[in-house]
Amino acid sequence: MRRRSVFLFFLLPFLGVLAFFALSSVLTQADLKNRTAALVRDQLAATSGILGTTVAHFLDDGRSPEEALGAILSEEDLYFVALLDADKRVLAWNSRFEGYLPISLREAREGTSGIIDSPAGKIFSLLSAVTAADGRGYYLYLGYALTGMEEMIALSRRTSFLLAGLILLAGGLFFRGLFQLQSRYMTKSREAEAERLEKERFREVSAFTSGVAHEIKNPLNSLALVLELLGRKVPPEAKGDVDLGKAQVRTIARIVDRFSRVVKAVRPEIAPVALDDVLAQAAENLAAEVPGASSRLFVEAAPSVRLAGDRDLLVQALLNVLKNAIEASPDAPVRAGGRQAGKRIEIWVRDGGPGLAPEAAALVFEPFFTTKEKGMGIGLYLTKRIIEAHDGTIEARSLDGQGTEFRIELPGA
Amino acid sequence: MRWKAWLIPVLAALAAGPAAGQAPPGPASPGHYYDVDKEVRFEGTVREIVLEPRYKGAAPFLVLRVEESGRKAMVTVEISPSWFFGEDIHGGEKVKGVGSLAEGPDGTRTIIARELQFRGETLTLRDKRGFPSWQGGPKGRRGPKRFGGL
Repeated sequence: MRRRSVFLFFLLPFLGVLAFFALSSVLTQADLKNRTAALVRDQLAATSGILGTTVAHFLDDGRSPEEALGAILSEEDLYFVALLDADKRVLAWNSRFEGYLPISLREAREGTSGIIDSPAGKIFSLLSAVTAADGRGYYLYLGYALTGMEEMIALSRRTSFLLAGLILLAGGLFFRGLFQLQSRYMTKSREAEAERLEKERFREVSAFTSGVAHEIKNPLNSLALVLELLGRKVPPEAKGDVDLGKAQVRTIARIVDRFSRVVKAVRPEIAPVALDDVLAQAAENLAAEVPGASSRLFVEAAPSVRLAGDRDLLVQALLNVLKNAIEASPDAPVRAGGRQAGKRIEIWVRDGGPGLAPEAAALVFEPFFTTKEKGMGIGLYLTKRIIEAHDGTIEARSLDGQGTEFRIELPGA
Repeated sequence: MRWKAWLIPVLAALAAGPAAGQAPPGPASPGHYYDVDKEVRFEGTVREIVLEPRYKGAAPFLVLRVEESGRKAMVTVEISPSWFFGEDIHGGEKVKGVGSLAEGPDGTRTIIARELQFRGETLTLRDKRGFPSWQGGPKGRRGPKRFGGL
């Protein structure tokens, strides 16, 4: 699944949940406000009824309007109260705030209720009629607010914001994790695809090479036999030409064998091996193949270093690296050595040649890649296969003009 | 009588002495509240500055006796608790503003000021419905539970 698709697949539902939560919060808060307002209005109506009866009772007892209002001072949620006569003139009033009695008597009618937005919060007001026993009419004007109502709504809003923040945080962490997982998955997929293509290419090359080698070997064997028989029958002056022909046939056979080795699966027989022995054997084989190489090759490895591997295959691998180094630096010495590094064995081969260009260093282990005129590009490729078959690694590092270093890591014994 | 310039702290000390010794005023006039139906503009010269208890249980208020321009009549302008009024004001200063016409605790013609302008500055003392600015915002709900006006 592409990254964009993954994000749409997860992001859209997440955004949907967030939007649903936000909408739900807004509606819940609006509902809470409406319910609270309705509750306050009901409470105000009930309080007004009770206080009206109380005030009427005091007035009936002949108390003054101030005394009548003084009896209802203790009501905690009452912000202001006023007693008006039938002509709506204020007879007495009380307020929690100095001089604050927000009423427009020109417009007020019995039963008029309103919401006053004050710095102290929303105050619900109500003008209700009060009738004394003697028939005199009064009006009671009340300003009422539920203590803590604003705090309750603010708390609800804060809780919603907090929850939204937590959802966003959790979503952010989730998508960060998802992004990392997706990145890793994509990287591994690319690597797996590259490996699959490489194996497929190798199988095709192997099949082709095996077929060619098989087709060449049969006539080559016949040709070698014919040359052998011919060598016995030709006059002495022609014997040199026949020997040259036999040498060329051997060269062809050697090349075919090398190709055959490349396409064969590498199956090392693991056993404890001394590193100095492997290096010494590789150096000896190099001396046999490349005359004069031993005078420029310096090998240094502690005798106690032992690694787990197939001796013959490792000798072959190191021989290829040493041969490559000797050929890359015809006039400079080549140094090789190894040491124990924890549970691993490190082997290095350094030459004094011109070094590898960065693009060449990336391709040096590719099959059939070579910078030499007579090379076939299979030596280092075969080396890499042998090293990897031993659960090891090999890399080439080069600085222009300062030679090349091949570094091999193998498991210790 | 023309007043020299007086600093408010000096006047506060002079006025607070006798005021502190007085008992709270008796039942105030029922008309002594901020009546939104009786808003007026005023303008004049400060002739006297006093601190008086205006509401039961509240701190003394800064009260100005103002000679209204053109009318040559005195009017009492109720400003705010003295602690809230953070300006110097002197006798002889020109003031103008908006307030509600009310009957003072002593029955005198009083204006409960909502806005006061002097020296080019405008002080907001109450909101349009008369809610006092010194009661602050929501915290004011938990402020001193006092009732005034009686």
